[in-house]
Amino acid sequence: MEKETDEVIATRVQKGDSEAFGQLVERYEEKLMRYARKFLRDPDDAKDIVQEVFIKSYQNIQSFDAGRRFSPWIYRIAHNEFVNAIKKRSRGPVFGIDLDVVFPHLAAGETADDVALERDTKEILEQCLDELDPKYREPLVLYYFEGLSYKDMADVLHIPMSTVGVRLARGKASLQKIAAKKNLYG
Amino acid sequence: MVDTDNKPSLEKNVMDAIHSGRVQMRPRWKFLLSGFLAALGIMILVLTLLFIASFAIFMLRQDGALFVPVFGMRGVFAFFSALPLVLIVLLLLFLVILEILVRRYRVGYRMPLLVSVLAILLIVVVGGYALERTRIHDELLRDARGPGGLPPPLSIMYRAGSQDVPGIYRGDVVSVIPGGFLLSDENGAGTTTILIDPSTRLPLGAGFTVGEEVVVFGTEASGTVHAFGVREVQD
Repeated sequence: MEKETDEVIATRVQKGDSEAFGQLVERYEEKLMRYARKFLRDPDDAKDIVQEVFIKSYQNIQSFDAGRRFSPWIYRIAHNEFVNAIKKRSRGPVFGIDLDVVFPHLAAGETADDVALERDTKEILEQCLDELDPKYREPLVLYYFEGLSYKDMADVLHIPMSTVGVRLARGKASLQKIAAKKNLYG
Repeated sequence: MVDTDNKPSLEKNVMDAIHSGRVQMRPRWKFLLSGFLAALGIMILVLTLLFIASFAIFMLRQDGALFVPVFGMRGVFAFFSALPLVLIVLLLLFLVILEILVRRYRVGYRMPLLVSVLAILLIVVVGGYALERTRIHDELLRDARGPGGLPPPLSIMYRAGSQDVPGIYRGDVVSVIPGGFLLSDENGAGTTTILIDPSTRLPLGAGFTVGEEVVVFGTEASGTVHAFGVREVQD
């Protein structure tokens, strides 16, 4: 039997089949837990916050447009919850005024690394996440660990697609500097 | 559905909260209503912006400042100094609110902020200019001065009328004299002598005829204006 899409299950939930929401939780629990652990860098908080993400998703499921993809929608809710959690912890602005969003950039196309390079970047990223600015940590996590496309990342972060490319490039540059300091390139 | 650390699983917690009714789905109509209100807010803001922009252009036309940039840098400076500051501040304030509202939507956040602000500004200026050309403000001005008047704040806006901008004179040519012409004052009570010399900029030519409406840009000394530029008003 063909597996139901997230969008079909979400539509069932919208129509009152609240049991179906369990399937969505099952599908996204691991992904969102990974996103939370890597972005928040606090495994103790992660479970409670992800639980809150699912509760908010259920409460707001009627705002989901079934003509669009479910994944960016739930990641957007997660992003908001995670940013709020970081704000609470830091008591200051998380990202501040972001000039990357203000000015137009040359169209940043999806520049997929080759498999080996992607594996290397992932390994290095894993070891340097703590030292990365959250502004660059989040797009790197979404791209390398969650496998989101530029388009989906733009919808999750509510930024232009060209800015996604800029943040990824700057994040990678910052990652290289940190990795070089830690002598991770051998 | 129990974690290895014997804590109930996340899925169980969520589903228990749903089954017990502690967590409930917000009804669809609330989202539809909030979407409708946001769209209505955007529409009202756009219309307000268009109205303010068109009124600002109308005022600049009334006091003649709209016509002076063609007289070179001096004219451009005079134009900027004649901009109605209160309206410009209001325009910027509403623009910021509109931008905040628009960025909730894909069409807004997918665009760089600068591009989206410039796009809105362009729509407002072009739309405001088009609205001003419909003569709506001439009619409202007539109504404001009429016996019935207009409700506030329109009555205040229109009664305040155009401002006197130093160096800019708008009126009709009363008579042509050697080296210039006599210009009727705004209230039609008197005339001002306008002197033209070879350095005066006349972008639309020098053949002024009696009764023609013109804008003069120049400096006044003892009731006589030495014109840097004169142009016919083409409404």
